[in-house]
Amino acid sequence: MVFTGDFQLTKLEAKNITKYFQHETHRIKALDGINLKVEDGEFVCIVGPSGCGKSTFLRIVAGLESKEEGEVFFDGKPVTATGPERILVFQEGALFPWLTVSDNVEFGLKIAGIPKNERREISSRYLDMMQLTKFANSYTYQLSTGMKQRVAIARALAMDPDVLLMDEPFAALDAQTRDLLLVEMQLIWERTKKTIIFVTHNVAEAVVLATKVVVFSNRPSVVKKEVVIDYRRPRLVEDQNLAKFQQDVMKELRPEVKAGSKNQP
Amino acid sequence: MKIDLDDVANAVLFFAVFIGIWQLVFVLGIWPKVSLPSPYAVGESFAEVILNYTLFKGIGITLGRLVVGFLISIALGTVIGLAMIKFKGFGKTMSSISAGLLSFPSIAWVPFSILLIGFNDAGILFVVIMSSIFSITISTYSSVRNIPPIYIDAARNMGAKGFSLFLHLTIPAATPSLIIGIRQGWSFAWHAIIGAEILMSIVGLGHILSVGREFQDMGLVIASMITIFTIGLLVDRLLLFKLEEKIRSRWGLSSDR
Amino acid sequence: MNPKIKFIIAGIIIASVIAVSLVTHSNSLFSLNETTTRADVIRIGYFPNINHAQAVIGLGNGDFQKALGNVKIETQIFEAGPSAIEALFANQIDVTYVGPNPAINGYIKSDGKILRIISGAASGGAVLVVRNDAGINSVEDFSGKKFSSPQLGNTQDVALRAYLLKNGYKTTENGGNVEVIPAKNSDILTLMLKKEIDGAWVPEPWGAKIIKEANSRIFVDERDLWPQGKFVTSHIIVSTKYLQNHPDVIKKLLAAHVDETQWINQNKEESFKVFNEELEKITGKTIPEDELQEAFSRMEITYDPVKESLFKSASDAFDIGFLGDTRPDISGIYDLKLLNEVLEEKGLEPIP
Repeated sequence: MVFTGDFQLTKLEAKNITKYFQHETHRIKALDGINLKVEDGEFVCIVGPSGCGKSTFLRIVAGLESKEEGEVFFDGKPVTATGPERILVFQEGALFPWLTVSDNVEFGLKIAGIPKNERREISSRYLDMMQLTKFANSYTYQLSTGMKQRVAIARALAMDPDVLLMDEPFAALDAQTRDLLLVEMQLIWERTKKTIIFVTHNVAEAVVLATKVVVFSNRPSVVKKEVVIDYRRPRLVEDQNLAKFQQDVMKELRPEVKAGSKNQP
Repeated sequence: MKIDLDDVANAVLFFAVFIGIWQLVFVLGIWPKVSLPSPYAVGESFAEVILNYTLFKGIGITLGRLVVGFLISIALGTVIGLAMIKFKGFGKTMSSISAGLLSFPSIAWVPFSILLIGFNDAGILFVVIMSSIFSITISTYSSVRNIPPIYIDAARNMGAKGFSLFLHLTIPAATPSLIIGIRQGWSFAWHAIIGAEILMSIVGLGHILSVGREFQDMGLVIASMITIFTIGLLVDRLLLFKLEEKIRSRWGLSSDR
Repeated sequence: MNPKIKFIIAGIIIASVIAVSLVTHSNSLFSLNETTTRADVIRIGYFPNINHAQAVIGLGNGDFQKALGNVKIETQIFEAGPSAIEALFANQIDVTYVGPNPAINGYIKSDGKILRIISGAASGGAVLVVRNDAGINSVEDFSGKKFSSPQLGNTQDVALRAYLLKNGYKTTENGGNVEVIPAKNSDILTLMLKKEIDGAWVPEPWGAKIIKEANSRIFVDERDLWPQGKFVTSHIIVSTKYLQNHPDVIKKLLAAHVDETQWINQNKEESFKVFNEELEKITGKTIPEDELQEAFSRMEITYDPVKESLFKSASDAFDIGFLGDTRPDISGIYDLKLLNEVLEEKGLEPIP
C-alpha cells in the first residue's frame, strides 16, 4: 500500500507507460511515458484527441495489451496479466450472442467456479440495478444498444472488480439514453464505491461523471493536465454550473485536437 | 415443428406427377423394361428387400459405419484444425493441403485404401474419413480464427484461460461456423460410404445397389437409389438443418425474427 | 391453387398409377423402343482374356473382318460379364463373347427375349487356388476362411458358392462362417499377396499367375467337377433381333470363329505369340509365356457350347439364390442352327 499525504490508498498507478505501434513501414509512438495515480474510490475520466491512445492505455491497464516501457501497479504491486480485479467494459459491449442476458452476466462467475444459485442471485441483483430484470432470459440480439451496454455494465459489476475500466461505453448511444445512463452511472458509483477509470471523447460527459478529468495530449501522448471537478452530486448534464469546468478542460484539450488534426496518417 | 400445409401439398403433388409421368413413360415402352422398370417393379423390389430384412440390415450397417467414420472425422479434424491454429506454419501448409483434398473424389481413395488398409470395414472407414475430415479441419481452422478478438479479450479479462477459455468461449463462439463445416462433412461422408460400399463391401446399402446392377435388376437399383436419397435427405433436414437453425436463431442470425 | 386441390389431384394421379400397376404389373403396353439393327455394321464385344482367344486374335489381326467382307466390325472391350450384358440390353452391341452365368441372367431378366447363345468359345480353365500358408489342407478347413471370386454372380462366383454349399458351408451373408469377397482379378492377386484372403476361384490365366506369384497351389481344378472335364467358361451370345434380321452376317462370323478355333488348336505355340501381340495392343501388357502355357494346359479353345454344363450352372445359381424364386426355364437359350450349318459345310461334327 502506498500512502499519499491525505492518507488515501493509491489503488492503481501507471508509471511511464510507453507504447509503439507498427503502421505500415514505420513505428509510431502512441504513448510517451504516461504517469497517472488513481486513488481508491476515485472516478477518473480520461479525455483526449482522437487517436491519442486513450483506449490503448486502458487496455494496457486491463492487461490486454502489451507496453514497451513502464509499469502498472495495482494495490502497490506490479501487474501485467489481465485479471478479474480490473474489468474492462468495451465500447461495443462484447456480450456473447450464444448466452442469455443472465448467463452473460454470470459468465465470469461461472469461470470462477461460483455455484449456480449464488450466481443467479448475483446476476439478478445487478440486472435489477440496471432495470433489466424483465430481459434476463432474452438473447442479446433482442436488445437495443442501450440495453446491451447496461448488460455489459451489469456483467462487469457482477465480477465485483476493484477497478472498473470503461472504454467510451456510451459512444454508440442516442443522447436520451446516454443522459439517463449518466445519472445511473453516478448512482452505481455511489452505491458500489468502485474505483472507475472512464475513457470518453465527450467533455460534458466527463465533467458530469468525474472526480477528476485527465487530459491526454496529442500523439505521442503524455498526461497534459489533471482537472479536479469539485462539485456536488448527482450532477445533471444540463446544469449550467458545470460549464466552468467544461471550459477548464476544453482550454487544455482544444489545442491538442487542433494539433492532432494536422498529423493524421 | 411448424408444418406448412402449402409446402406439403406442393411436395405431394410433385411426387404424384413424377410417378404419373414415370408410369406413362413405362407403359409407352419408350425404354426397354430392363433399363427403366415400372413403379410397380420398384415397389416389388422394395417389398422384397424389406420383407427379407435385407434393407434394414443394409441401412443399419451403412449408417453404423457412417456414424463411426464421421465421428472420427470430427474428432481428428477438430484436433488438426486446432493444431493448425496453434502452430502457424503448420496451419498455412495444412490449409492448402486441406483445400486440395477437400473435393478429392471419394472413390479415388478406394484403391489406395484396399492396398493400404484392406478390403474390410477399416478400409471403408478410411475412405469415409479421408472424404470428410478436411471439411472439419478447414471449418475448425477458419471458425476459430474468425472469432472476433473482442470476445476473447472479454473472456480473458473475466478470468478465463487455458481449457476454460477453450470450453466457454472458443467452442460456443465458433459453433455457427463449425456447424456449416459439419453439414458439409456429413454430405461428403455420405457420398463416400455409398461409393466405398459399391466398390469394396459385401454388405450395406451401397452393396445392395451394386447387387441390383450385377444382376440387371433395375428395380432393385432404383429402390436402393430412393433409399439412399431419402436417408441422406432425412438426416440433413431433420437433424443438421434444425441444429443449424436453432443456433442461428439464438444468435439472431435467422432470417425470420 | 389451394393445398386441398393439390392433394386431390395428387391423390387421383397416384390412384391411377396404382390401378394401372395392378392390372399390367411390369408389362408395358407399347414398345416404342424398337431396337434397330444395321446390315452393314456389326458391333462385337469381348474381353481381353485368354478364354476369348478367338476374338482377341481374330478381331485384332483382321481375320474376322476379312471373313465379314463389307460388313464393318465395331468392337467393344469389356472387363466383366454383367457389363457386356448391360451393353446388349442397351443396344450398344449386337454380339459378344461372355461367360455363361451373365448370359443366363440376361436371358431370364428379359423373359428369354433378348439373347441367344450361338456357339461355345472355351471350356475349362478355372481353378480354386489357396495360399500355401492358409492352413487349408482339406475341405474341412474352410470354416472362418475368406475367398474371392471375380464378380458377384459371375461364373466362378457361382462355382465357388455352389462348391461351398455342396460341402455344407454357408457364406457370412447367410449366417455362415465362410466369407466370399468379390473383387477384380487383379485385386484378388493383391489380396492373396497381402494374405487378406485365403483363396479364390479364378479363371485362367489368373490361376497360373497367383500360383506363381502368391505362394499358392491349386485346391480344386474345376475340370474335376465336370463329366469329361468339360464345362463352358465362355461362349458367344447374340441379340435376338440381330439374329433374326441378319442371319447371314452371323453365319459368316461363326465361320470365322470356327476357323480361328481350329487354327489356334493346330498352332499352339504360334497362337500364344499372336495372342500376346494382340493383347498388348489392347491392354499394353502381355502374359508371360510360362503362365500362358500353364493356363492353356487346363483349358480348351473350342466351339462346343457344352450345353449340359450351362444348365447345371443355372441350376446351381438358382440354388444359391441368384435367380429369383422360381426355377427358371432356359431351355430356349440356345440357337445352334447356324453353327451346325457352318460345321457341316466344313465337314465337322455338328453339335447335338
